[in-house]
Amino acid sequence: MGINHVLFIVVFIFALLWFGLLVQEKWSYVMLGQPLDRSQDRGARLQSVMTFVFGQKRLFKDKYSGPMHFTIFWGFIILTIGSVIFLIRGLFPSVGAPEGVPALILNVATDVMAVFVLIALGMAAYKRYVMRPKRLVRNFDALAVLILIAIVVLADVAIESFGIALTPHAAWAPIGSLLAHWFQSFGVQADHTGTLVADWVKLTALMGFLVYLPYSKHFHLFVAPVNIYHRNLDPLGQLPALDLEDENAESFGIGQVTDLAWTDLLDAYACVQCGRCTEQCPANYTGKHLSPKQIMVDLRHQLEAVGPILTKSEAQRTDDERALLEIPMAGGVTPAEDLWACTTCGACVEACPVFDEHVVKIVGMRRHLVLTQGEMPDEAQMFFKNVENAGNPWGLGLDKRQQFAEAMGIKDLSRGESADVLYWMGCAATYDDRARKVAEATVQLMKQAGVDVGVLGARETCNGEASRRMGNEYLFQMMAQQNVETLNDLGVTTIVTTCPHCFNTLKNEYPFFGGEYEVVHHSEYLSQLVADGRLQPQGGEAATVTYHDSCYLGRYNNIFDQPRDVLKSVPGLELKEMSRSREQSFCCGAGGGRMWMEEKVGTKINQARAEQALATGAETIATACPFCLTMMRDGVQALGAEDKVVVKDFSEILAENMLPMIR
Amino acid sequence: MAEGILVVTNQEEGRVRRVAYEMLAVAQELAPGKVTALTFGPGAEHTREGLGRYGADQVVAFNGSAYTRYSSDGFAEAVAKTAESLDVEALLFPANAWGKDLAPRVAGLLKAGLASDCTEIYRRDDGRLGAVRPVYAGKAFARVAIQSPRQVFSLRPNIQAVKETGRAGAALDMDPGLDAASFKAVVTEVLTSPGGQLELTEADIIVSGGRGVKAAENFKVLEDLADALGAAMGSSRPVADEGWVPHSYHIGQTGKVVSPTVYFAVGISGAIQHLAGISGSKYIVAINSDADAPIFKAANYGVVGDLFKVVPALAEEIRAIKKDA
Amino acid sequence: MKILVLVKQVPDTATKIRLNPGDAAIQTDGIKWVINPYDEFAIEECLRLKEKHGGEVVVVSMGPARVEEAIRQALAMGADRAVHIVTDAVVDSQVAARALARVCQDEGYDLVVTGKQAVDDDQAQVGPLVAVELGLPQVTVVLKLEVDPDAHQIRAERELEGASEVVELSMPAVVTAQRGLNEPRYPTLPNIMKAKKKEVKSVPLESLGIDTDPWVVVEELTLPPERPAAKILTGEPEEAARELARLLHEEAKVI
Repeated sequence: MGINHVLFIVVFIFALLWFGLLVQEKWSYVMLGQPLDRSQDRGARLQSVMTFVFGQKRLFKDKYSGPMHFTIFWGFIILTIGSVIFLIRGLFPSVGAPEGVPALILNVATDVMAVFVLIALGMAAYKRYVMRPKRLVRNFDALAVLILIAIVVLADVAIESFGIALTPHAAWAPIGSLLAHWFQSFGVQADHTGTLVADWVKLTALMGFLVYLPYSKHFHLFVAPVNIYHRNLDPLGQLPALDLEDENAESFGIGQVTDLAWTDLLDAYACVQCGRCTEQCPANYTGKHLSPKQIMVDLRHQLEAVGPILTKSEAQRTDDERALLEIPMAGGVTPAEDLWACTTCGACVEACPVFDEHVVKIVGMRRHLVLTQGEMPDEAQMFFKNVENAGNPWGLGLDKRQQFAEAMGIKDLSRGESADVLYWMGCAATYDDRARKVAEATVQLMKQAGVDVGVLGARETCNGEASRRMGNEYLFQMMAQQNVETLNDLGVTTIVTTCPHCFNTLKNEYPFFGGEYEVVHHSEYLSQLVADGRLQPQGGEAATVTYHDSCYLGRYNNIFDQPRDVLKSVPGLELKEMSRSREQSFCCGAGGGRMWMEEKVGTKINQARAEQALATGAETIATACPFCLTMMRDGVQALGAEDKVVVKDFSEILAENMLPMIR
Repeated sequence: MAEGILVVTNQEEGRVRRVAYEMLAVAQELAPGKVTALTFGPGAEHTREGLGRYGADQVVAFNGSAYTRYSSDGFAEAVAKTAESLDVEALLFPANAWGKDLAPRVAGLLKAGLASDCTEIYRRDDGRLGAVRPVYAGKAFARVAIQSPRQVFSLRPNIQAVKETGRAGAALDMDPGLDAASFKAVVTEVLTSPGGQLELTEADIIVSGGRGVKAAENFKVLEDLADALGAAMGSSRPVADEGWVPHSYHIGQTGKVVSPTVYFAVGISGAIQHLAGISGSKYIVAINSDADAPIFKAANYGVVGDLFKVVPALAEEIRAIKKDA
Repeated sequence: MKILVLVKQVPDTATKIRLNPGDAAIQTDGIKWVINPYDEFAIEECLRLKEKHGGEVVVVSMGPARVEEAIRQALAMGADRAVHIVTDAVVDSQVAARALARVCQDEGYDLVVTGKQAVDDDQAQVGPLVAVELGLPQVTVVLKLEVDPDAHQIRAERELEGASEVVELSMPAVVTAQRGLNEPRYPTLPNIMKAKKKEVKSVPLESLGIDTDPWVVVEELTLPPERPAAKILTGEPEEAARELARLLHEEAKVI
């Protein structure tokens, strides 16, 4: 046994052990999280892995980085075959080198992939260091990995080439054979030395890479596939319910890393800090400090800081360590200001290639701020009080919904009437004059199509959505229970809403509280009536419209086409898309309870969005949400463009293009 | 049987507020017996002429050194002693910051019922006094009877007419014999708020501007109206966002919630976020060039027109009215 | 320092007042009952004083069984325990003050705090009346409160019309709170849970041995006259302004 062989074994085992211990350590930190069953739906999970790991689907949204990363990913996998053979031969020198056709295939693959990977690495370096997009950081970690990968690839080619140079009948390799020819000119001794050096460079680089990974953001190499397998398969708009029954609990919401689910902690290791989330974040875009990426980075940092403390017994902890454990996640690790800046629009979640879930963590930390720390903006407190005492965000009187039923000539379920379809007004349409026009248009259209429709009248109250997003799970559950009781009591089966926030909560969150109904957004309902020919819009004058996707309708519930279908059904109407639409839509700024809070830092999200809408040159901005409507109108006004463009709900546009009702 | 009414009022440097004369007018209507006015502090004796002219038969002025600085417990004791020695049927206080502090204290000492902030006081068929007073922030009115032997009322200012009668206003020399050293709570300082800017949330009249005001410098027009009215200034959110006014002006769902008697919405369209902050106002006055602005639906009074013409004219009219009063 | 805070439960201010002709009380079905907003400032101030100087905050409230909800809310904000004077009777400020003062005497106190007025009857009397019953000095409508428990001294700023005055007084004393004194906290969930277990002593009003006959009796409630329909003026600005000023002066009588 030669010294090189012994050393090879020693280095290999040493690195493997080191790596194993690191993985075990990180895994023990992840296991500090709350249990969460993500084992169901194995088929869908494997499908996700195929699509998003091997297919790299989410990365292709970026036309530069997508192919680049795809190349490195697949290059790495193919080069790994060579690396495994290299390791086996290093450990067991008696194993012969591949020969014949397999060797030929391997050589070709290695050389081709080496070229591709080197090009991709060059692209990566160019992007990070020359193009310097805001989302990417330039630190040692990023550079180290690029260089390590390059060394491994170059060493691979070198080993192959020296091997061919020393072996007379070796299989051909596109690059290896060329280089081998050149290497032979240095003599056999030199080639032996070259092989030895290349072997050691490769081994140390490979083993160094292995050991380095768990310390680095590039741990995502191993964690991302696991994370994607354990991704959330429930609707994005369904927040986990907090158990409020525990009367002795001292803390609610995410106060410590241990309050997060294990999958949330795994998210932190899966994060490669690519910054796509922050790049898409409307709050960050308009100058707020909030960065979804930073939340992941800080979470990992905190987890690694407290992990070693939490995994040892309490008696062994020093005072400093105890002090470290006292730092709350909400307001400590992540600034409260960042948490309140979030519109919960989900653009970050949608953007994340490794399926990290930012919003659920942000809301979880807000829960801790509100429920445990009692810390919240004044406006939030006022909002909660109004909802608590008056059942609506504005603290206004309660008889408006009955007046609506009377004015529209529809059923009022609180007066003992019943109807096939319940139109859930929502607070905006009830109290906001502008939003009420949308409700009037919608109900008018439904009546025109002969739908038997009614409202809850005096018995409808705030559904609790904003309270929940603002972290007041206690208030939300009170509202949810009350509403579910009312709806079940009245035997409601089908609900139509105009508000995507009401829609999302009634549809995705009420089932948990025993409220199972067919919940339909008015865009779905009206598009169906149009498709069925029950509503036939007539041609108006030619007009251009751009449609602004509501986050809670689009990203949260996959309703992108229906409102567009309704608009397209109007003859003469031309639809223009904004630069950011559908899955990549840019929030109006009202989600997550932001509607009820002041936006004091940076520029206004609604103005940024209004600018994007104005850039299309469309004469009308169509919305499908009362809050988007308000925000877009305010944004257009603030930009002084109210003479150039009008903001309307898509249903109003449909109503305007209907012939007067003939009965 | 007890007879006569004691009208208790504050004064500054010999001047009383209008409400003092309003109380005297009410007292004259009610009293078969004498109407006695009671004032405190330095210069109190100078109020005698005016109080007499507006209906006091006699005036008590506690202007001794004990009464230089207001003390709720000290003054209450002085009033109670006076009421007892005159054996009056009823006492009237102004429902202002001074009277609201003092009246209940006096009522407590006299073991008498008190009706606060009355808008009407009248003689009942049974010969006793009754009153009407707002409850639930003016959303209802209560007709109340007081069943204790002596009856105490405080009167809401600026509602009653005043009446010149030319009664004697004779000086009545009394001394409750109190020593300021025994007063427990004493006013040591009076602070006027900086710049006379009134706290929005408690302001009685508010003049508020919106986007229709068009520029920061145009707020001068509104300031002038506020000055004429003695009103506080407010704004809608976009205007505060633009930086035309300080953020502390912002009234609405995410700003301040106000409940003034009169709210002037000038150039404010009236989005729900703003209306939520002003729904507690008793009267909303809208001035806007857009006749379709939602603010007109919430308003009690409105002018459709150019605010730059309406507001200065209104300020002028209000100054004229105030001058006449 | 032992601080008593007097709390009343009132209908939420957004409540629509409903009456039948001749009624002496509003219809209470469907009403959302809340802590009197000014009492919330009082509670908050007591909690801050306790946090600063130590001691105990005891809630004293009065009314029917539903009042317990308001009491629990005050306890959830952080008060230590409570006394509930139970009665279904309609009482006036004097009876309330006598009852509250009796409980204060039984409890002992360094400071008694309450709101400047309750937003239902708007009498603004209970604070000063309790002070008289207990023989204490008072400061009402307080915007700023400084308490020196060692020197038994209070320095308070109380609101006047468009100004304020500083009142100095000795402790014990009665203080009534005005909006602006502080921002009341929002109860945290663990505190809401804990409040469920805090002591609430029920004391029947009859057991206090005080005269419970009211002196001020509401004989009838009426709704304010229907507002005339909104008057929207158009036309020449000067004329419209003159007419508006006239309406405000003569019809609304607010100027």
